[in-house]
Order: sequence, then C-alpha cells, then structure tokens
Amino acid sequence: MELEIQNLTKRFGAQTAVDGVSFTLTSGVWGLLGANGAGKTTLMRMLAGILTPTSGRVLCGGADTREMGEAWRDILGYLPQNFGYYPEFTVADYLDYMAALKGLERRAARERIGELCATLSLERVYKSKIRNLSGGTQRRVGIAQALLNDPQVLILDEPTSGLDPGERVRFRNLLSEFARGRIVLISTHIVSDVEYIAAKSAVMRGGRLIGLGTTAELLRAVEGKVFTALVPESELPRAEQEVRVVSLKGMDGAQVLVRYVADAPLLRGSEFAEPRLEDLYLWLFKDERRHEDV
Amino acid sequence: MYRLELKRILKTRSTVILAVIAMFFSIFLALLNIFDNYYYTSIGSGVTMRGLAAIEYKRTLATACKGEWTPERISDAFAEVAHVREHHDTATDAEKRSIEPYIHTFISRIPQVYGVADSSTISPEEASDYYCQRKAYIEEATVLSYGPAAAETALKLDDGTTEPFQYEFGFGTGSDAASSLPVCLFAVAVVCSVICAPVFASDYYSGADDIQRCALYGRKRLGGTRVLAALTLSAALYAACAAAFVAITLAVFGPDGTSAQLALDALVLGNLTMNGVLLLALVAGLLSVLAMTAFTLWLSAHMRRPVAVLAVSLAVAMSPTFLMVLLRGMPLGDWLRLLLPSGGLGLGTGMIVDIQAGKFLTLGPVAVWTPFAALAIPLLEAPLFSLLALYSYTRHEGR
Repeated sequence: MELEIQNLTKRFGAQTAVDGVSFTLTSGVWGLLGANGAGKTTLMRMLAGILTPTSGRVLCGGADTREMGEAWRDILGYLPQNFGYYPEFTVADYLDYMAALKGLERRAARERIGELCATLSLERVYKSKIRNLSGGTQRRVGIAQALLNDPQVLILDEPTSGLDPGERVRFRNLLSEFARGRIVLISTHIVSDVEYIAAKSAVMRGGRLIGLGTTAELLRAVEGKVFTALVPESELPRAEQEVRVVSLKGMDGAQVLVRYVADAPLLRGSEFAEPRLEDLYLWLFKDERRHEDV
Repeated sequence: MYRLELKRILKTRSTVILAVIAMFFSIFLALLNIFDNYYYTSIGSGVTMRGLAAIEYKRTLATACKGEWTPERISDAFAEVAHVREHHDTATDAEKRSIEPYIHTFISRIPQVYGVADSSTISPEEASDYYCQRKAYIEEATVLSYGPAAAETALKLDDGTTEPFQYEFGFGTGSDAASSLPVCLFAVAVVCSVICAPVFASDYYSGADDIQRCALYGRKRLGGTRVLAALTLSAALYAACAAAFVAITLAVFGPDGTSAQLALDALVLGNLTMNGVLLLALVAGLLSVLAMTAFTLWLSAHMRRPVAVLAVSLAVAMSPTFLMVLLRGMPLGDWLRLLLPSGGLGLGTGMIVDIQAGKFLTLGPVAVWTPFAALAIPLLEAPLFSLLALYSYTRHEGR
C-alpha cells in the first residue's frame, strides 16, 4: 500500500498554505509534525479530498485519488481537528448514521460498532448524547467513526488531544496494531505520541516539507545539540534567555536540571543528552516559538 | 440512509418544536374561523350571534339561496328586495326575514359588475342581465389593467364557466377560510424554511461536513438524500397542517359547491366552485412550500452560516407580501412576486387572491392568468432549486 503525494500545493488567495509537498506514504504509522500554521491540516484535508489542491496530486496505487471518487472514500478514514457532531445524537445514533454513510450493511455495522465501542471503551456511553460527553470521550467517538469502514488509509488530525494519559496509551497501542498493512497518518502536538508509534514522520514548516524519515533519521539533525545542565534556581531566568529550553526539572539543593537545544553547550556544566523528537521539534520551530512568545 | 436522514432532522429539538407550533397555529386559525364567526340581524329587537350559533343561523338563511341562480331568479330576488326596501317602515319582520338571505349572501356580489356599490340602484330588469353584464365587466376591467390581449384570454377562459351559477352554504360562503387559509399555509412555509435552513449550512459551520464528505456516500448520495428528506418533511408538515385546518373547517361548515364567482368575486375566470378553489389553493400551497424548501436548501448548501441562510430565506418568504403592498396594482409587482419561489404564498396574497382578482402576467402579446403562473412556476422551481442544492453541496469546499 502506497500513497504518493506529488508536488501538492494549496493557495488561499495570496497565501500559500502548502507549497509543493512531495513524499510517499507507505504502510505503517506516519507522524506529521509542525507548528501551528505549518500546513499540516491543509495537507491532510487535501489528502482526504475535502480541499482541492491548487496544483499537484495524490496517487493511491497509481490512481489519482480525486478521480477515484467513491473508491478512494471507501478505503479512507478521517478525523478532523474539530470533530463536528449533531448535539441531539447519542453515540449509537451517530455511529449508525456514519456507518450508513460509509456503506456498511446494517448487521455488519452493528457488529463493527460493537467491536469499536469495546476497543475504545465507549460501551458505557453508547446511549448517551454526544454533547454530554467529556472532550476526551467525544474524541474517542470521532476515532470510532474514522475506523468504522476498516480503512486502508487513516488520516487523523490531532487525535489524542483531550485524551487522558491512559486513553492515549490505549489509543497508541490500537493504532500500532491497526496500522499493519495500512497507512495511518497522524498529526499531533503531542510529540511523544509520534515518537512511540510512528515508524516515519514528515516535518512541515511554512507549508513546506523540511524533514522526512524515521525518528532516528530525523534526530540526526539535533545530534550533539541536546544538553542537560544543573543550574541554580537564581540563575534560571538568565539561562532561559540564553538557550532554547526543552524541559525543567527541580532538583535538590535549590537547583534545576535544564534540558536545552543549542549549537554548542552554553550553560556551565552542560552534558550531552540523547536527542528525542521533542528536542528536534523545538530546534526546528524555535522561530515560531519566539513569535508566539512575542 | 433516507430513514436515518429523516431521523436526524426529526431528532433536532427545534424541528419538533417548530412543527408542533405550526400544527397548533393551523388548528388555532381553523378554530378562530368557527368561534369568531359573527352574525348580526337588526330584525326584531336585533340579535348578535357568535360561533356555532352564528354558523347555524347562516346555514338556515342560505337554504333560501341554494341552487342555480338563473337570470329570472336573480331578477325575482332583486324585485323582492326592492319591494321590502321600498316599504321598509311598514314591512313585517317575516318580510324582512325573507330577503335577509339575499342581502347577506348572494346579492352582495352583483353590484360590482354594474360598477355601483349598492344593489338598490340596480333594477330587477337590469339584474336579469347579470351574466352578460359580467362578461362586459371582465372585458372592461382586463383591458383597462392589462390590454386587449389579456382581455381576449380572460374571455376565452371564462367561456368554460358553467352558467347559471350555483349557491350553497359551506366553508366558502359561511366562513373566512379564504382569508385564513393563506395565512395558515404561509406560516407552514415559513416553518419549513426555518427547519431546512441548517440542513447543510450547520454541518459546514460545525465541521460535521468534513467527516461526512470523506465517507463513501458522503457526496452526491448524501446530498440527494438530504434534499429528498427535507422535501418529504416539508410536504408532510404541510399536509398535516393543511389537513388539520381543512378537516376542522369542513367538519363545521361543510364542503362548498358555490360558484367561485358568487362566493369570491365576479372576476373569477373559469369553471370553479369553492371546493375547486380550495383544492387549487392547497396544491399551489404545496408547490410553493416545496419550491421554498428547495430554495432554502440551495441557500443552505451554498452559504456557510445557518443564520445567514435563515435571514435570506425569510426575506424571500416575506417578499411577496411586501411586493403586494409596495407595488400594488403594478404588473411588475406580480411578475416579481410570482417569480419568487414563495410567490404562491403570503399575507394578503396567494392562490385564492390570484383567482379572485383576475390578474395576468403580460409579456408582449402573451397574457397568462396568474393562478396558472402560481402553479407552473413553483412546479419548475422546486426541482431546479433541488438540483442546484445538490450541485452546490457536492461542489462545496471547506477552508
């Protein structure tokens, strides 16, 4: 199973949201990383067929997905960032409705809904109105609808936002298992989710693809650039101004263990640390962070 | 999918509330016709009757007028009325009662064709010429308003009229149904528009559309199913409300075989009884409700905000009423009104008014009687706007 993205571009007026992105998605879980406004959601919406690309195309098994029409939508599962639902619908109503839209026969739909509700712990809320559910549970209903048709290509935009740690772990395990022989593309701000389950990731900035590969391959970009240092609490404000801090951890003796990314060790007593995706993320999007800080 | 789509729309609380309101309003208007029915007679010590008593009194009076109104019978009635009026001070209550049915029912429609306001200025001999005088009146009134071509069409249409005219008591002669039915149908059309306004737009707004659009049947089939479900719902709501109104009205007043020329206006063209007028009004109302629903669905599929859809839809629904007021008597007003999907409905307008007023749409030598246009235009617009709604939905693209 391959999904070939060829020179995909999307412009909204004078603004280019996605700029000539090309890469090939193969079976397994793929992470899509990028700061806000990087073009991740626009790219996903083009892949799902919600947006028409200004130029470029997406090929599935050599066929243009836009020309495939129903055949493409039959193998596609999609969860957008904003999960829109009908306030008066119960979980049961909603999943029934979506199953019909996905062309599932009644009996098959009932079985599949039962399976998914068990897997996603939705059995207790099956008869509850969606509007009365917590954000995390609503998200799980959204994930359930995306999985209803047992899709070959699953596109999930921020699927783990709102899930508690336990739910996130269960969801990651579910996706890892589900991704065998299928393509799963997830975009998330929770970088650790991608780190745990994504075989490969694509990194976007300003609408362009700036990185592609396995986690290990991507981390080469920050090899030798991640450090930890023990800093007295009193010097912390100065340290935070000097370096791009990844994390802070309070230690004994009024000291703080600072993890940071930089071209060279800038704090006294710095030691090299094993890079993680989060470090890469901060390294690549340091400018965006500064804009946000401003 | 169709069943689920209907269920989805019906599950919306606002839909249920609006449907119930429409039904109550229809029943209220029908009951108002009954309990607000009024009759006053000055004979004797003078009596005012209301409600069922007034209806029964009118029914009794009308028995004297029942049947065919031949020229001779018209002349006799005028002679009898003239005689009692001449000797009003000395006439007995029994004599006064004998002319009461004519004065309060049938005779009131006669003076119009003679260009006078009061029947007392028409002699029995002149009255016997009513049918010829009516033809002349139709020709004169139509030439004056629309030109000779329209007058020719009007007279051709009127050739099919069965003379002499019939009179009997029923909903048309005994109630204000001709005024309140259009109000009832207009209210249903407004409710249907409000129900259908969010069908597509609310999903664009909430993001639900993004998910549905990616499903196997999330494009053409979903769009088509939604249009069909919304039209079904509007038709069903219309049928239920109209049935409630008509059932109550007919149960109390009874059907009405009176010639529409006697019950409504001498300018009514064609062979129509009040039963026929009711049927035409109901059919035109249904077509207009369907056209209005389809138009609202098109707006909903085209625009992103349900509130904007609702605003435009209600503005269009109200337009015929405003056009009738602002462009009264101007052919342009009728053109604009009837070209709107809501053209067959409104307050003070609609099929019954069109039948009653002898209006024409004219374009060069072509003249079309407005009731025909009120039937034909929504019949074309309902499928047209449905297809446009489907087209807009399938072509819709989020941001």
